Amino acid sequence: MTKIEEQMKYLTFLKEVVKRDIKRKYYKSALGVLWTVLNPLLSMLVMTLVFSTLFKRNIDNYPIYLLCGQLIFSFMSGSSRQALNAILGNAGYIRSIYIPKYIFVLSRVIEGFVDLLFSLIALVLVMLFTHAKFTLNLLMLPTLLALVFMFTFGLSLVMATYGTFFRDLHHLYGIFTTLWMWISAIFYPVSIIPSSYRFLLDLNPAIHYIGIMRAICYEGVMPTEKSLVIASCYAVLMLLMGISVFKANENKFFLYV
Amino acid sequence: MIDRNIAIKAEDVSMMFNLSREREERLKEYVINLVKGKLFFDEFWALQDISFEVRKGDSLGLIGVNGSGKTTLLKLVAGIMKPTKGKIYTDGSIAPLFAMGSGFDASLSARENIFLVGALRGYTKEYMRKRFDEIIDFAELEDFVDVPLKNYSSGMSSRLAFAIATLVHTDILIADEVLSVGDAKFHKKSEARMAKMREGGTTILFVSHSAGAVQKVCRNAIWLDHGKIVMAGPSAKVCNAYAEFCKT
Repeated sequence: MTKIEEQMKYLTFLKEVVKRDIKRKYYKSALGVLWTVLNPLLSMLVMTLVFSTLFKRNIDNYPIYLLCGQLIFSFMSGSSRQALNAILGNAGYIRSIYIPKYIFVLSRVIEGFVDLLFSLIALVLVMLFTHAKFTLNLLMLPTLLALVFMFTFGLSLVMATYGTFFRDLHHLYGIFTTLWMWISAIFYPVSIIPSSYRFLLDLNPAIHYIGIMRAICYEGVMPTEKSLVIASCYAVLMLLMGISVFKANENKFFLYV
Repeated sequence: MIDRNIAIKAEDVSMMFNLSREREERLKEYVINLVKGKLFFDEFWALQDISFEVRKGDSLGLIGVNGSGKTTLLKLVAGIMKPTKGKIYTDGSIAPLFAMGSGFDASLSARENIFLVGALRGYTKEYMRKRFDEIIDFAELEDFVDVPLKNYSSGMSSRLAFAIATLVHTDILIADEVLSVGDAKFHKKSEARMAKMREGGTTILFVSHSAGAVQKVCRNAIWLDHGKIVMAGPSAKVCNAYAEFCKT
């Protein structure tokens, strides 16, 4: 059997795990999966109420500006946060059977991605409601989503590895993502950052993905080549780093679960 | 290259556990220990220089007192852990059957677990659907198919584990103390089932601390003690020696 065939064997398992977790998440809630659409809508409403007066002059159609950033960011931070517990949470399997362990990380990222796809419905609804322009540039969306997925999967592999070894990370990561959120220009216009500090913002990968998302859905323009190149570089580098960190450590996991 | 008639081959396998690791889950302690250079203390060798091979269709029993390294060796063969030193080759699909339940999710029903464990072993839904009735029938769980496993008795879930592991096609069966579960009736049934698998060409690696059980199931046996092989050979001979040792 070739290596690829061997991995394909576990596809059924991946599907089952994703299905199980999504089912469990909405178990016994009256609205079920509808929450993935409602959640971003409601939090967008709250944020809009709070911030729209603040940034009225700088940003028109604030709801869309906000949603673009929020959807991308919550996928990135949410999935990587779920990944922290991917190995420990599946200890039962890891202790009793051989299975490629990245499957558990991948399943968490896919679950987050499914949420993201559902919340795009919320975005489309708001776009329709606010008469935003739908342009052909929206066709860039799958490319962006693929890049964000790669980056997030890489990050999640790193988090899953260290989350297994150091359980304190679960608490620390919440604080880190809060900080990360505030430097990702989700609620405020990038222009309020003094230009001498801009370069710091540019180091943040999330800014680039959110920027492309806004170009496509909010401004209705083609994302710049430069932004696409940077976003691709971050995605590839993060993925490579994730794979190498995970591979170097996965054989030690069973000592910690 | 390794012989195609060999199902399992272990070459100078050693397994070391670092007992101090258990206590280093906190970042602070890790950093302190790192600074002090104390990270790699308290070595415990669960297995040392184990070599053996099992031919396809053959059966090997591992016998020894508690803590002799039997289960560790099984886990290495199953691929759950990687040996610290040495190499393990296996050829064919492996069905692990451990005392603690092989990958069940307690919040799911027997039906869902059968498909999940099947998927875990790389079988499609269609294949598992064909085997489904047979598994439920063998495990005698007709009335509990849709009950979550957390409400099962331990006998019920180990019957289910046994049924899944032995009724789905497998090349190598790795079984840990399985015959000690269930009542006398199921006990008999499971012994018959294992005999049938052996006739069907399944390689069996079987662990027990009971000499009688090993002798019944296996043609060859290895006696382990403190992570080392004390004796290896035909199971009757090894089991007798072990039984003698236990008496004293």
